[in-house]
Amino acid sequence: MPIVHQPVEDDALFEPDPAVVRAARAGDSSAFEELVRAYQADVWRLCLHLVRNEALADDVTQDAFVRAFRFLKRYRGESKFSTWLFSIAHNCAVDEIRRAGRRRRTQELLHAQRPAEPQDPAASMEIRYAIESLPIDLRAPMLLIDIFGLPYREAGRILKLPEGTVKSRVHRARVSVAEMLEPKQKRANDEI
Amino acid sequence: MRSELRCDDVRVELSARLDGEIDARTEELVVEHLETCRECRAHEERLQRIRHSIRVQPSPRVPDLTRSIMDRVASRPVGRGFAWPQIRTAAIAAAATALIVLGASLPGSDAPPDTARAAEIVRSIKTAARTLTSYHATFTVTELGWHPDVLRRRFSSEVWWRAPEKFRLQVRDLTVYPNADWPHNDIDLIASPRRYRIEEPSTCPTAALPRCSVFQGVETRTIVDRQPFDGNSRLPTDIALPLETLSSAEGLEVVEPGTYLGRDVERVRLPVAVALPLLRSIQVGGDWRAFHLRDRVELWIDRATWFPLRFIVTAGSSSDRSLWAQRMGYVSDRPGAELLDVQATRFSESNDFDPALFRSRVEGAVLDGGFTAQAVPGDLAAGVAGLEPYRVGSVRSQTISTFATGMYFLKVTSDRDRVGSAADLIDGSVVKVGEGFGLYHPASERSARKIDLFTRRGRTTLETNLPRTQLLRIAAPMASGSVIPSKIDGVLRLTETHLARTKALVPSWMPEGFVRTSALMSTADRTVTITYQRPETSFAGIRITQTPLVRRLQPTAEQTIAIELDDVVARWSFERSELEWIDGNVYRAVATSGGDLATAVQIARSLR
Repeated sequence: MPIVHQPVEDDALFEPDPAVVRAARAGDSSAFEELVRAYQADVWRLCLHLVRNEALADDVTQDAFVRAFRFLKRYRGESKFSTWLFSIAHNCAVDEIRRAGRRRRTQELLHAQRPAEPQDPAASMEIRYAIESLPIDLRAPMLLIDIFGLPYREAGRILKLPEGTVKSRVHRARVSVAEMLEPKQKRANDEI
Repeated sequence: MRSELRCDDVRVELSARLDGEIDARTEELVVEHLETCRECRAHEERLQRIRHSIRVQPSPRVPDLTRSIMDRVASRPVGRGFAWPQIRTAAIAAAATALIVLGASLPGSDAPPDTARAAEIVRSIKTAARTLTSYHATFTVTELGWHPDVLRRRFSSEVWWRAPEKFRLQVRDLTVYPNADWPHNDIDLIASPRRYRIEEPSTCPTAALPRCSVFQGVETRTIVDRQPFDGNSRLPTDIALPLETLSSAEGLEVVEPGTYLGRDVERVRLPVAVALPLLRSIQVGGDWRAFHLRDRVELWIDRATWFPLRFIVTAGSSSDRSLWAQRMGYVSDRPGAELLDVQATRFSESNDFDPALFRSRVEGAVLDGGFTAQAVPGDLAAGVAGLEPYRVGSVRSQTISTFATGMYFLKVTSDRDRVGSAADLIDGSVVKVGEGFGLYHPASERSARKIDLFTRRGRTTLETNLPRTQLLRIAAPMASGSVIPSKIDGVLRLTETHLARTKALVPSWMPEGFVRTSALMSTADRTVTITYQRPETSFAGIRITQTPLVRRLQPTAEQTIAIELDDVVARWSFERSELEWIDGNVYRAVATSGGDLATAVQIARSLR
């Protein structure tokens, strides 16, 4: 069963053939495998940007698909399949970040920790570092909008946020990244 | 005069306008505002620049996780802390955090092992496996240190097995938990040749218990039309006879024999890394504590039947273990402390089972194994290597023939699809088989030991729990013309000469029993991956990754500690059990399993 590209206006992610989703819901593992193949790259990229580590992104991606498989029976098609799947991946990543946070706090009691700043960053590294330095509530909307090109409506559904909040957070994220990358310009702007 | 919108509001709308998310009315107001506001015009340019920079970010290379995902969907891996880290060809890097200088002295064996007796025990178990056809036993299981609030758990366990593929395991949690929020670790596994069903608690990570946001309840998975000796639903038969655990005498320490339940027993000691097949067989499904790879296991084996009657896991005392225990939340672990005690209370070879024992309903998440059985063709009737023909059939493009006697089996899978995946190369070592070559894989959590042959007729895989030498003998007549592909999916197999030409270093030290299985290079970024495993059964391997032209380690969200390696500072990731550092402009990393930092440090030092 091929995954059919069904472009919808403004949507950066494609939607699967409903028959494939139906078959996967009915327990057809080859149909689910089609979905895994179709979406794993996007899910992995999302997870990578959220958890900021490739090995963790591997794990979280797997967790997301395992959870999706388990909850597929509850998917009734009210939202797009991509939105539903991204929402699960986002939840898995946030769970992982919280777990990592708890572990880190324990560690911090013993050892002072401070992430090192890149010494001579190439431009792309600088941007990546800046994005990764954002708190998760700003990073997630920025990823969905800027990396995945989703409309605010879909991003809001994935993050369970009103569109207006998505809009203001994306703006704040962009300003924060700009400030990290352009400290001199920031000072100049502040002086105006 | 400026419009009614304030600069702050305009700037949010400017950002939205870049995304095409502004309505006409607001846009009019924004445009009007821009005409008179130089700061907001500058802000818009700045947002455009940033948005463009973010959008033209290089895309990271995405791994193919299909197989791992489908394997997990089919049969969720058990326990935590032993996961073989995902193979990553891209270099990742790190920021140094707190500095810990580890005096990595590895605990060695105190006395030379009695190799003759160890070899005799291994031989005896191999012999017993040929004639054992049924088994029934009950156990009591005591687990210590699982959770800071529940330090001691008790279980009763009952196992039934009938050769070759009828198996049932029932685990009942007898623990008195602090309150009703705690999930009970009750597990039911029922397998028959065609069906496999497991029912286990679905919980969040142990550390988050008793309260966490994830759905809690009972999870059931069923595989229907299961293919014979399916790797995704392996039957944990080491609990009946520790055939995989004691597949080799290497590293076994035989101590004074004793008695148990009035019977003569042999007592052997081995590291957890070697005893994983046995530990996994009692910890099938559910939620159990993890062990450090160099924790010790003492195993008591009945001299008459070679059944394991008791096994005790005790905490190791290596310098890195307390760090690992702290990270895992095992607050009560002390060197030498008992962590698990499994004791048989009844056992027999009786096969007087109710046939209904191995029947199961199709419930929960259902996976179709896709196996279609066929009649055994006449030319297979004589069997192979003393094993009787068992089930024959097909799954998609594969044809499968299986043979079994007692606990032993052999599965021959022929696939028209000649080329395998890069994953086949990773833990496979090239061996001479008869007139050709094969790719040999030791027994792992995913499959029994196996050999892949690549000929013009396609790919043939022979998988078995017979010893390696016997597998090679059986494969020899089929290997004529078999050649191992030198490159699959952008992964190149390196010969010794090729490896010497790369910037990759080779360790001069490896733990006892490990041999190099493969050296591979990713053609994309010239990452060299060298893997080491035990030759017969290797549930926990070692991997060395080296990438040229990497100047620094990248920040990570993981919990890490810094380790001084002579003149460089390396980073140890608990999540991946991986030690990584930059050596000049080469990224190097040593991955072990199960938190075995001391071994990683020892290997890393031998690289330098």
